[in-house]
Amino acid sequence: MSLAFYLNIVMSGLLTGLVYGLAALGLSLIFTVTRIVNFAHGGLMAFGLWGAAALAARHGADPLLAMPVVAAGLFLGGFLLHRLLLGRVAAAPEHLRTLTTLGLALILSAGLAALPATAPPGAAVAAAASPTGDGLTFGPFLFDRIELRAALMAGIVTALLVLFFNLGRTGKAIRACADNPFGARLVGLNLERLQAATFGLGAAIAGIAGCLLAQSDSVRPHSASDFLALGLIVALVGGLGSVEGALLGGVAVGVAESLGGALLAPPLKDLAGYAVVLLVLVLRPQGLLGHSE
Amino acid sequence: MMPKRQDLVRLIETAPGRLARSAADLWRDWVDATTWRGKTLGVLVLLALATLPAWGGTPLVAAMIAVLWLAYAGQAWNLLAGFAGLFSLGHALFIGIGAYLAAAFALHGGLGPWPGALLAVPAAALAGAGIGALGCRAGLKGVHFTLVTLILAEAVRLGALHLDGLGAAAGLALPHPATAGKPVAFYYAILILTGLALVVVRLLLRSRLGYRWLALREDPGAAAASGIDPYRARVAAATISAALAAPAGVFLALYLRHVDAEQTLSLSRSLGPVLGAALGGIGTLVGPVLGAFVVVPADQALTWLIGRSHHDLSALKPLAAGLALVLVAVAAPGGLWPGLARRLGLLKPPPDQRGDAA
Amino acid sequence: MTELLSLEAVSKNFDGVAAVVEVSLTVAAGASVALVGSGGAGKTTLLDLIAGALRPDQGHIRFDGREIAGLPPERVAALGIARAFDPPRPFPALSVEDNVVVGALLRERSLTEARRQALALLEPLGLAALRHRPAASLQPGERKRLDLARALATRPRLLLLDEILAEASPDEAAALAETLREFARRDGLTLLLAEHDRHTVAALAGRVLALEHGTLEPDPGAPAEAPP
Repeated sequence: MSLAFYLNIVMSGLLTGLVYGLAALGLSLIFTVTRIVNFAHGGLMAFGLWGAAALAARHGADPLLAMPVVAAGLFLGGFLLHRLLLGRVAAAPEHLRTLTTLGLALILSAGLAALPATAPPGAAVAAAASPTGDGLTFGPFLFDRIELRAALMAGIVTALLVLFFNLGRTGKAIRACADNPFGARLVGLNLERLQAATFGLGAAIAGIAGCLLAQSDSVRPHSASDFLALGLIVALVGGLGSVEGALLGGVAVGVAESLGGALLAPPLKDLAGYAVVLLVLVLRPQGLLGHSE
Repeated sequence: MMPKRQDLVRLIETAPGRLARSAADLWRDWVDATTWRGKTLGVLVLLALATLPAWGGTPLVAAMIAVLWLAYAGQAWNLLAGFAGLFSLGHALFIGIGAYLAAAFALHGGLGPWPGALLAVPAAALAGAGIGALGCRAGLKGVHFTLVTLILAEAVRLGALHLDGLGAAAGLALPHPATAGKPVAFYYAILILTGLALVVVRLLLRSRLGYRWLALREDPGAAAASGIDPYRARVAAATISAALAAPAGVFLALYLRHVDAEQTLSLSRSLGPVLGAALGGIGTLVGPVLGAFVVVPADQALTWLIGRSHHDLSALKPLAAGLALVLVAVAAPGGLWPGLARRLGLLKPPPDQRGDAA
Repeated sequence: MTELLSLEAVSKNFDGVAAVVEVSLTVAAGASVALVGSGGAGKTTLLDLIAGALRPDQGHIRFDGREIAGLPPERVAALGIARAFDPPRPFPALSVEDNVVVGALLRERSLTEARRQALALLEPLGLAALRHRPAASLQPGERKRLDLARALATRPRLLLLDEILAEASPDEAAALAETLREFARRDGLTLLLAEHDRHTVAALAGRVLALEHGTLEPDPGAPAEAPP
């Protein structure tokens, strides 16, 4: 096989990896600020996926248009969820927080099963997306237009988030909550509301990631628990609590999957990500860019 | 890091004596702690369980096998979560090791499943030690362990799904043993196993290791200041909990005569004991048992309901489980057992409040 | 004099705030030394550093000649340094007796022996009558004494006490001081006490060091150190 072939495999993995990174980012964000591992994250992503697919199937709309709708809805839902429910277990022992989000994950998956079924998203997406063909050549690279677009969106959303957290007033307030909750309260920040907002933001990010994953037919995880495992793997590889880590982890897993699928056998694609995380857990347990206490 | 060889040998040699003593202690605990009402109820329940096959029909026996299985698996899980403070979402892995080993030996080797059954405990113990070692490293948050268990269990499930040697998607079917069609033998086996689990757990709790676990659970910082090495204590807990879970897998393989990745190694298999112990009361001896008595009948009722309905109501199961988990976490974190015991007046108040001399 | 504990230019910062600044001190074996300073002076941080709960940014901490800075707390405890916390941290759900048993288990292999030692420690500290009570149900003074009993059960050579005499009535403080002196005498225990009031520790400490804003001030008024 030629170099160009491998380059394209790696590039494809990189592009998918950016979306993976976005998914992990939401998870990391929620964990850093609210100290909750959101086991319902996979379900939220699956919901985003469904939203995109449903819109594509029903109205022939470009799944990208589903993004704002899904994001807004999940932000609101996540905000309320934290305000009304999760806020109560915020101070409880960790296992109670785990039980709560686990329960929510189960409820979400029940909800997802109850939603009207849609055609396999990939096909619908391809039909709704750019009608001018889906190949774009650039040097040795042959880009899949849809994949490229999804990766670009993921990159834009990530960049917007970075700007938000570094320049925006609310963003900085949220960071203060994460770094020093006691101090933040002293300064007059409404901790509960900011944490709820962060949860909502994380949920919205999950939904967006789900929408973006709907773009590609080759992406196999369609179930909530598959998405959860993916998000957790990427977050662990990159390091919980690190933005750059989430992206790096996503790329690492994406490329590993891509290579694994091409070099070994397509079904073993899933296992590639697990191999990466196992390696990281043994060699650098806090994640590639994570910190240990 | 590993316990010394002569310690292990001594442990095995004194095991029967210790178990017998622990059973006696368990009996005495129960006698001391329960009121007359509690004693009566306990005796009735035990009698009913002991004689069940005589008066219950086959469906009831089958249902009780499921209840007792979940009670057993719940005890193994609860040891890790409730007493050592490590929340595992991947116990299906340890159960699966037992199941697959039993199945593999049943199918090959001509010696029946028993070598596999014997191997299951040390194999699972090794896996538990490995996962404990990976998940409990210094400087990492507690939730790290939970994530490691979840991910590794999923990884093994996927591996089993794809490996033809382990049956791939279809799984492995065990040959029919002599006990086919005789659930009574299985019933008493699981009943005895569950009783043994209670005895073993109590033994552990009252041991030096048990004290260390409880201290670690209560206040890891103060525990460390008292000389307790958190890493070693946690790895030991994971090892023992895994070893306890393996026989549940062996039982599963022999009873269902079938193992496959989806049924044996899935997340729902991991969540069963979690749900049972959480509902009953994490960190109590009775909790997992009580929880099993709630979860299994509820599950079977839902199965019946789903089967009868014209619509696809299969989503009811995760919905019910999810609601139960959320409600327990938010409204009854100690589980149903403490409230029930209090409401029904089954337990005496603790010694110091009774007016007894210290 | 044998030097049991020595700190050399130990410093610790938290996010740019200097909690402990270049502290150097030595404690002789068998001595009773008090660290006196107002709240926030860095007393607890210093104890945290010695006990291994924190790692110093700079400096050396030597115990019995051996470098212990950066060792995890359980190693430090095994080497013979125990501590009583402020506020006290007994294990809430465990009984009073079980709390002390946990400490005793550091040195005892037999559970029966550990229990016997635990009971022997509860007596002089006035906790024997409460031994089956869950620690969470104790009064603050009782919790402090339980914390102390657990620390003593580990048979330490150096005992770090954080505000052990504070909030006690003069009578209680005197009794506690006497008990501590007795333990120190009997077991050759070295005491390092952190208190915010000099007069409280007067009866107990042979030497008093003043800590203010993380810096140790030489104390010309203190008597020369001598074992009690």
